[in-house]
Amino acid sequence: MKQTIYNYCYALFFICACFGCEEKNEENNAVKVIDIQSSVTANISDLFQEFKWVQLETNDSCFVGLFIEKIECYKDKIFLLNAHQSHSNILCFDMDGNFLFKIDRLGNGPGEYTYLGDFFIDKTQECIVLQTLGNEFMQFDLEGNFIKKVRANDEYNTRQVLYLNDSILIACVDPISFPYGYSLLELDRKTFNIRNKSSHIKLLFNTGRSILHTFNNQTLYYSTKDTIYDISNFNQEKPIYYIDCGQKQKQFKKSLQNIPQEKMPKALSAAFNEKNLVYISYIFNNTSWITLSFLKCKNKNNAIYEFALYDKKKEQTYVSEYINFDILNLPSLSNLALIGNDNDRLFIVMDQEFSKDEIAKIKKSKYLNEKEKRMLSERNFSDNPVLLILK
Amino acid sequence: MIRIFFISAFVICFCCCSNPKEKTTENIETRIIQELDQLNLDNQKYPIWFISEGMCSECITKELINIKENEWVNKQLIVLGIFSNKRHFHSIINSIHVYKTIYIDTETSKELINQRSSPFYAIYDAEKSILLNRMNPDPCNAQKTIEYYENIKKTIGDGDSIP
Repeated sequence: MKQTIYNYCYALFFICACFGCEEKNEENNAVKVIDIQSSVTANISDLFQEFKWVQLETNDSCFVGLFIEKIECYKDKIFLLNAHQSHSNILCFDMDGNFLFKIDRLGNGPGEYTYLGDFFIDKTQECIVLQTLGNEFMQFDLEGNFIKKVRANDEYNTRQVLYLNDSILIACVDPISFPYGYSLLELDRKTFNIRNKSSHIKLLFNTGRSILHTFNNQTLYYSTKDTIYDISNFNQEKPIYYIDCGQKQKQFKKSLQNIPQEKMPKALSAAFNEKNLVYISYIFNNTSWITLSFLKCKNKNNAIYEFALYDKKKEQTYVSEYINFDILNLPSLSNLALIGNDNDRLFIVMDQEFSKDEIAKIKKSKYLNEKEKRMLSERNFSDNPVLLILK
Repeated sequence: MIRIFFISAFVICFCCCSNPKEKTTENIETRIIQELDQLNLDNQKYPIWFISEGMCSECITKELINIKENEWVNKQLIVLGIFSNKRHFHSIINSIHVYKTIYIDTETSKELINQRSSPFYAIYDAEKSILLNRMNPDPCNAQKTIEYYENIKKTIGDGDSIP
């Protein structure tokens, strides 16, 4: 009798375990893993078919500052959010890198701003929209001429604003920003007033530069818990990708949940420097790739940009550290900022000066024409960066 | 007596060595004067503004706005900056139009860049080759800067020597 009871218990345990596994598997299947610890090697020429090198013109009117924060291409124009040590401005170039105009209106007067946080192209009204203060926006035409300033009636602070369609914008809110307790806002495109608020996803700390992205009616949102959600249905976030940044990062993020918000920046900075964690700044989605751009600590107080490409068809991740730059005849390149994309193109900013050895190798590359070889080898440290467009 | 002399000497030496701020100020100012002297300007007084890599960005932005909104300062000001990349320096001061700009490469001033400082204004007396009336602006108090401008405008305009 005793044996029969044990057998029943074993059987019950076995069935539960099997169902449990099934449930877990279903969950795992739904959420795909982007493994940024991956050391799978690849040649960049095997991952992309076309490469375009654009040397951004350098002159007194268009110096690129510390870094480019955002790139948008629209109607054969490249728009850059250019961050100096002091403030930001917008630079516009044509697709060959010739400077067209800039929007740099620092000041307290009409048509001026004291802070520029983000911009986007409003494709319905065909204008550039600058997010200048929490709920204040400035509109310029595509030639850089000022149109108007709009201030929303609702008070809020946002880091990134995303143009979704002809009536809606999505904005993300950091944990310490107003309105407290919310992470996403749905805004009216014309008035910039709040139409809907979401507090489903809790952010642990201030987010990266560009954590919202929309492509083919699918809007993605990266949360600080290293999960990418599909927020196409604004009121129902669905986790679709988990970014595996390693056990250390996982443990650290768990421990962060018990740290008060005011102590968060210090804890993050210490962990970033000492535990070699990654800070994800950008996510992009296009036909072939989910792309992540992240900061990694190289040595104390020296962070570099790296990126990860997740092949949606093959479900394979490639990390820039292991991607051979055979198009330049060089091994992997460090500190490449992948900060923009559109339907089938990725935009990478290269701001380094090559060594003599590297130049000798670049000159032998079979992927570059003479003009490109000259452009890359004669680059000066003070020149504006080169834009590499991958397709 | 001898012991007191040695102890006093030791204390003085220790104080001098352990006050890096004083030393930094002196070094930066010395370098600024060297750079300004090379311009061979007329024997007048000129307002200067000093910035460098790693300084508080808000402090620089607020002063850019103050400078931009004061026509007199715009025409007279000499801006000096220590940066590792000339482009980064020019990208900052491009939004204002000033009298002259001087770029100092961090390669030639490694010690100075490591010794943190904040943006400051001063008056360069080209005749005496000295800096006068140094002022560290307060990013939360634009009025302090505006009053400083008024003050130096009177001084430079009158040609009086500054105490």
